[in-house]
Formats: sequence, C-alpha cells, structure tokens
Amino acid sequence: MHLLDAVIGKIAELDPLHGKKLRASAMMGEPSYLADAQDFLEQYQVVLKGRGLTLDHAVSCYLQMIADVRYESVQFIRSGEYSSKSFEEVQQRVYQSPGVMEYYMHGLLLSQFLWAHHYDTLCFFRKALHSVRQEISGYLEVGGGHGWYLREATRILRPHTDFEMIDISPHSLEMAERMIGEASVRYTLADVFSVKDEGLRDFICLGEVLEHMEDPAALLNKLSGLLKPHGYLFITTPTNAPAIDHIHLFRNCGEIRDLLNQCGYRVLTESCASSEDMSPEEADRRQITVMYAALLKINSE
Amino acid sequence: MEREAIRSKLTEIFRDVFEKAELEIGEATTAADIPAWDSLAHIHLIVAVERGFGIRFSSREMQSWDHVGEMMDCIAEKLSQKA
Amino acid sequence: MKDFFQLKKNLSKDVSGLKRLKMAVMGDTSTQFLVQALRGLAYENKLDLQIWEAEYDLIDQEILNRDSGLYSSGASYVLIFQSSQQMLNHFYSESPQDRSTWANRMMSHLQMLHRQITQGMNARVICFNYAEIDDAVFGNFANRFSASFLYQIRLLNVELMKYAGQHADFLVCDLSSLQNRLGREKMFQASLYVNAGMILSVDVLPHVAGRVLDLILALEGRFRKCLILDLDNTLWGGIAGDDGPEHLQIGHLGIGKAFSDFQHWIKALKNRGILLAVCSKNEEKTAREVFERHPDMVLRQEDFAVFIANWENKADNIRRIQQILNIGFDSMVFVDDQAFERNLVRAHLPEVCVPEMPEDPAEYTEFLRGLNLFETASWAEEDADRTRQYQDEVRRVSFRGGFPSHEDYLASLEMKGICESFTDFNTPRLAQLSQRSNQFNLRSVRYTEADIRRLAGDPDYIGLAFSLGDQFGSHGLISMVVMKKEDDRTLFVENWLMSCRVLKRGVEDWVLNAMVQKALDKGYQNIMGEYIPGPRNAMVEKHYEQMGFTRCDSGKWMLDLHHYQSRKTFIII
Repeated sequence: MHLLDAVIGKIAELDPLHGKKLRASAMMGEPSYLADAQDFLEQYQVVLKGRGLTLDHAVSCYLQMIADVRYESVQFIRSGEYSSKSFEEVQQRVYQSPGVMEYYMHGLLLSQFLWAHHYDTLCFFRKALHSVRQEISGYLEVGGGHGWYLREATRILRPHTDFEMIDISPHSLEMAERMIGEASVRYTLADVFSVKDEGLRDFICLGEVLEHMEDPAALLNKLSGLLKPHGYLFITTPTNAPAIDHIHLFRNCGEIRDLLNQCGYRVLTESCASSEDMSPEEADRRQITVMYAALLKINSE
Repeated sequence: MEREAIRSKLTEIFRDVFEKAELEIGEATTAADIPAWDSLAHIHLIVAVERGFGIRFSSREMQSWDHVGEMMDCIAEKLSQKA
Repeated sequence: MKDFFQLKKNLSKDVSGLKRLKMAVMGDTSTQFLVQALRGLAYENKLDLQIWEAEYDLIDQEILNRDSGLYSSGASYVLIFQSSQQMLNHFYSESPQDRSTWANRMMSHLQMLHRQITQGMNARVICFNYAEIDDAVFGNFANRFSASFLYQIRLLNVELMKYAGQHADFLVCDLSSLQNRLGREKMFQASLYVNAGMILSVDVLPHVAGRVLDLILALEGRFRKCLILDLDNTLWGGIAGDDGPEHLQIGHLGIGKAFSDFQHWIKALKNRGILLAVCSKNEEKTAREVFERHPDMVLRQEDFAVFIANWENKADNIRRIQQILNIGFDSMVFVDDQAFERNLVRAHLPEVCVPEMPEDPAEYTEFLRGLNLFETASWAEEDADRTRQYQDEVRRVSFRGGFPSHEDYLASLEMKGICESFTDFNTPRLAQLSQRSNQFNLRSVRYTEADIRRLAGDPDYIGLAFSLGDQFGSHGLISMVVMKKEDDRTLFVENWLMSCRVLKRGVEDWVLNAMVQKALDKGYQNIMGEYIPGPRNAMVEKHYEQMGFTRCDSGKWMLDLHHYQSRKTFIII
C-alpha cells in the first residue's frame, strides 16, 4: 500500500525543496486523489517490472526532469523566452535521443499524478471524454508521449473503438505500447503533417503538443482536416512553462483561446489549472505555468 | 570577496526574495528553516543570486546545495573564477 | 449528508444550465426552512427547483380559490405538509363522539383537496404522511380504542396509502418512517415549535428534503437500477482466496448473521427489479465457488446480471458492467468495504453513487436502508424478471460474435413483435417506460398512467405500444409512440421512445412501418416529427434524418406517407 508516500518520500530525500512543494499540495488530503494515485502507481509498477525496473527508476527520471525544468526556469526568468528555438534543434536534443526521452517520458508520466495542475487536467480530460463517449468510434492521439492519456481513453471509450497513436519518437511509441498493454491500438511512427486526410476521426487528442511547435496554427489547421465535421478536438498546452523541448511560448490563456478561434475552433468546455497555489490570472501575470485544456469543435458557421 | 561579505550580501538577497526584513541566515540554514523556501522560490532565489553576484550557475550546481554553506562555497568558487 | 447550513449556501449559487422544475409548498406550520433545504438539496442534484410557497396555514384557502397564487405558480408538484402536531390540536377540538371517525373525515377532505388541485392545474400532489405522536392519554389502551389519537393517526396513514395506491398523481412522502429511523427527539424540538412554530428540527431538514427529492427525481426518470457489489468482507466475512470458502462468515459462523441479513435484503431488491452485479478482486473460479458450494449463501449466481471477478481496476470493471447492461452510470450504486476502492471509483466515475460504508458489517444493512437508494416511481410485475432479461442480453451479446454481418445476426434472432394500442393492461408498463427511457427519447415528454388513459380515450391521439421477443426470451414492452392530430392531413409525433436494451435491432424500422400504416388507415397524408435536445438524448439527434424524414424550415421533420417505402425489418409480426 502507500506507494505514493514512498515515492514522495524518495523524492523529498533526494530533492528536499521539491519534496516540500509536493507535500504542501492541497490534493494530498483528498481521498479520491490518493486512491487514484495509488492505483496508478500500482499499475505503473507492473509495467516497470516488465522491464526489470522499479519505481526508483521513475523517481530518478523524474528528478532529472525536475533539474531540467529548474535550469530552464532560471533561463526563462533571465531571458523571458524559451531556450529552444527550432524544431530541428529539439528533434536532435530530445526526440531522437533515447537517453533523454527515457528520463523525460517517465518523469512526465509521474508528474501527471504528482503535479496538481497536471492531475486536474487529467481529470478534466476524463470528464470531457466521458461526456461524449457515446459519439466516438475513432480516436486519434497525436504526440501521445508516454501514452497514459491514450490508456485512459481505451478504458473510457466503448469497446471496438478504433484507436491510433501518432508520434515522431520511436521511444514514445514503445513506451506507450508498454503502458497500454492489451488494448488494440495502432501505433504509427510519423509526423502528423504527413498523414493523409482520409479516415476521419471523431476525436483527436493533442496533449501538450502545441508548445513544441514552431507554428502551432499550422498543426491546428492540419488537424481540422483529419477531424469529422462533428468531431471533437481535445487540447492541453501550458503557458509560461520552460522546458528543454518547448518552443512556442503562450504568455497567457487568452493567447491560446485567440489562436483556437483563428484556426476555426469553438471551445465547448475548458479548464485552466495553475501550477502554484494562485488563480490562473495571477499566474499569467507572474509568468507562472498554467495548464490550459479545452474540448473543441470545428466552428461550422 | 570575503566569506562574511558573501554571507551578508546573500542575507540581503534572501530577505528580498522571501520578503522578510529580519530574516537571518547562517552556513547551516536549510530550506526546512524557511517555510516559504519551496521549489518556485528557489528558482527566484537562484536568479536573484546570479544577478546579485554577477555569476551564472549550471544545472548541476542548482541541484547540489543542501544548505546555505554549500551555496556560499559555490558562489565563492564562481567569484574566484571570475577574478 | 450535508447539513442545513451547507445546503443553504447553495441558494446563492449559479443555477443556469440546470434543469428547472417548479414546485408549490403548502404547510399548516412554517415551511420556510424546509423550502430552503429543498432548494439547496435540489442544487446538489443538478436541479433548479423553483418554489412557490403558500402563506402559512392557508392550505385550504389557496386550494379552494382558483384565483390563488397556487394555480398561477405553474408548479408541476404540489407538496402538502400537514403536521401531526396541528392534527393533534384539531383532534382535541372534536367532540368525543366524533373522534372515532376523525381519520376518515380528514381523508375525505384531503381527497377533495387533491381533486381540486388536479382539476385546476397539471400537477402531481405529494403529501407527507403523519409522524406518529403518542399523546399518552390512553397509554397502551390506545391500540384497542378507536377514539384515541394514536389509533386515528395510524389509520389516517393507512388511508393515505390506500388512496395513493389508486391515484397515480397522488404520492405519499414517508415522514413517518423517517421518524421511526431518526427518533422523535431528533425530529421534533418542542422549544422550536413553541417559539418559532417549526415542526421539523434543523438537523432533520436535509433528511426530510431528501425524502421529497427522492420521490421527485424518480418521477423525473432519475433513479437507480443497479447495485454493484464487492464480495470479500462485503457479501461475506473473510477473504475467499485466503480463508477458503468453508471458513467464510455467513449464516452461523462468526458475525455471519450480519452478512446473511445483508444478502436477504439484497435478494429482496433483486426481486423488486434492481439489477445486481459482482465486481470483486478475486480469481473468478474462487469467487464463483463460494456461490456454488457455501450452503449458507442466500444470493446465488443466477441473481446477478453480471459477474466480474479479476484483478483489474474496479473503475474499469464498472465501465465494463455499464457496457454490458447499457444503463447510465448515474443509475448505479457501488458497495465495497474498502475505502480505497470506493475512492478510486469516485475519482474515475463521479456519477456512480458510492456510499461511505460503516466499519462494522453488522451495520451495513441498516445504514444502506437509511440512505433510501432505491426509490422508484412505479412497479410492474415484469420488473421482478429484469435480471433474467439482462442475462438473456449477455447471452445475446456472445451469440452475436458468431455472425459475419449484423443482418445475419438479426435474421438469426427470430424476433417477433407485437404492436398494439394503449390498453388498461399495458398502461402501467407504458408509464414506466416513459419514465425510464432517457436516451432514445425524442422529445422527453413523460406520461403518467393518468396521461395515458386520457389520451387513449382522445380521438385526436394515436398511441402505439410495441413489445418484442426473440429466441433468447422476451424483452416485453420496449417502445411507445404517441401521435397527435396536427390538422386533417398531418399527424405530429408528440413523443417516440424506446428502451436502450433493444438498440440496433431495427426496431425503429418496424415501428415506423406501423406508424405509417396506422396514419394511412386514419386518412393522414404526413407524419411530422421533432427532436428536442435534452440532457441525455443526443443519441437520437439525427433520428428523423436517418428514418428518411425531410427537414422543414421550422426545424421539424416531415414524412410524406404516399411516397413511403416500407422499411426492411427482421421483426415478424
């Protein structure tokens, strides 16, 4: 039991400052969160065990990612910009580097359940997907990363739904496959821009991808061609979130909304989860990360 | 720069970052002694220290301090390299 | 349960987007706090309950005067709260020789009030029954003396039940059994009554409001249909896999009596028509073995519509149960002794009702009974058979796997259908179908038994009831259509609804053929349909389009009967 205590204890031991932040999080007192995180860690542990690893591996990956984030945050305060400028640069530095991808993906996965703004966003995703599940028979995940969102989707949606994940990193696809296990999913190693506009999907999930783009609008426009007229796009993307592979800086949630509108999307529901204990507006003002998430439809008017 | 001078300048920076005018720090001070010293505050502290002393830390250095004494070691080393 | 002050905070919250319902509340004592509790609790249940409150102690005047605020309130529910306290005063003012007929006279008066209301407005009446007061004038002798208050108030409660049994739009809200559970001391505070005229103590208000809302929600089609049960330490004491079936506590072993009682209660729910499902972390073989071999088990495997025992996450397993049974998550109750499992299900499926359970299994049954989880607005004989119907469905699902195409499958089912008009015999079941169907429901118009009887006798209406059976068993009544004369040429489909159990059987095609035939027989040229979006009927958004109707400028849909091509159906009449 109490894997969460063990994981946070280990983190606090190795990085007391970060441990302090995790322990102070309000969700640590919520029974439903605690059960959910425990259940996640149990399942994650099984997957790790398949590779002869333990949660210690996840913790050390996570701390490596935290170190990156810390360094990038300092850079960000110094310069007011993200350090990476081009997709090609990040491709070399991250996506095609197995060593970096390994710690980055595991670190990011753990953060889904350790960071309040990531966890709140995951809950929002579940709720949004659940609310439209009757209408979905084809689900596409673009840039699925560690695969956990897709894994949740395979459980929330009806059986016989067609699932596909597209990613440019072979490492991501392999990790996602391990995470998802038996559920039948097509894993495609490709750049989404090269995908033909056929086999239209009812639901596309674009989780933390826009900030990795040089031109986020181009991707949003591309996706509207892959979506059925009545289909849904679900996006998450952060503001002011320095990371080794983030290129496009959204300075506030308003910028994201404007972009979505310009690209012909209509917001059905949205969520803004602040990474620190403050309102999203206050966070935008102080240049602190807010995770923006929204369920969208193509504007038919 | 003398160690005492570093400590005194660092104290000013700490007071500024944590908005506490009477905050005192010593070599043995750790994050556990200052409630507001969490990971977000730490980043602001690093930036303030870098600006205050005119130095830059590496990622590894940011990670390595357990108490203020180690931070001061690191600052002293950076300053001596600069000189 | 939230207390009164927590509920009161809801009154200032934003209700836009919530379903709105109008209600009138009339009492012989102050109802102000009850009204606040009702509205606050309604908000918790995603309802914007708008309440018109009568002046204090003016029940008769408001009802007898057709110009009163009651009749212009637009309420669809009228709540009448006559307190036993006031009744006692009334009783004492009667002359002793009249007292033994008091209950009957009170009942006639109530019947008169009920008739007035139903003649003057389209509303259901909810009447609280009477929380017993033993005035201790006769001691135990009151039980054999018809002129005692205790005798008369109990009689009045019985008369209320009889009357409600005969009138579908007259409902009794059981305040008396609430008092039995909570105790009179908790229910009634003499000081509050004397000083503020309040009959109900502040602590009890959320419970009373809860009983009223249970009734209303059930009538609005929101009630629970399925009980999902853990096994180890929930249905029996001990852990089957560790202790072995013979050491489990059921019946006479250890605290087995607690679990036997619990199982008896669950069996009674199943016999009423609540679907049972197992969701247990166990080897399936081990779990089933207990049912097969333990002599003291009350519940049997055949009592369960779905049986899932594995080591997977329970939220995922409940999703599987939902897919098999095809009922809403909000109609499920999940009972598990482990806090972890309960919290996990709450995290993933907030719509599922997950009661916090007492530590001591001895308290399970009493505790769950107290929550009144299984309110229902109606009951028909067929309900008792529901588990078997769903088990048939589970077998159909596995049968379907063996066919190359859906059409082959449908043909092999050997479906037989019956289409009939509304009769006394099918009226209760039609009313029930109308309350239960939320997804395949084009206009979300719901019909009570009284509504159905009324429109069965109205020449402008055509009502059709559809039943279906196949080689696996009978589905019973599964679809209804109500059509109303729009003009000499056109029939308007006031509502068309169908049970989700028979989706994808081509029932719609068969139903439309029958509708068209009936309309042609009566000399109509067109059928006009309309889809009104509700919270859960998105499934039929494109229904009329798919059935070949043409969209009119009004947004309604039109079918020209003379060019209608009979639709292909696998249902034999």
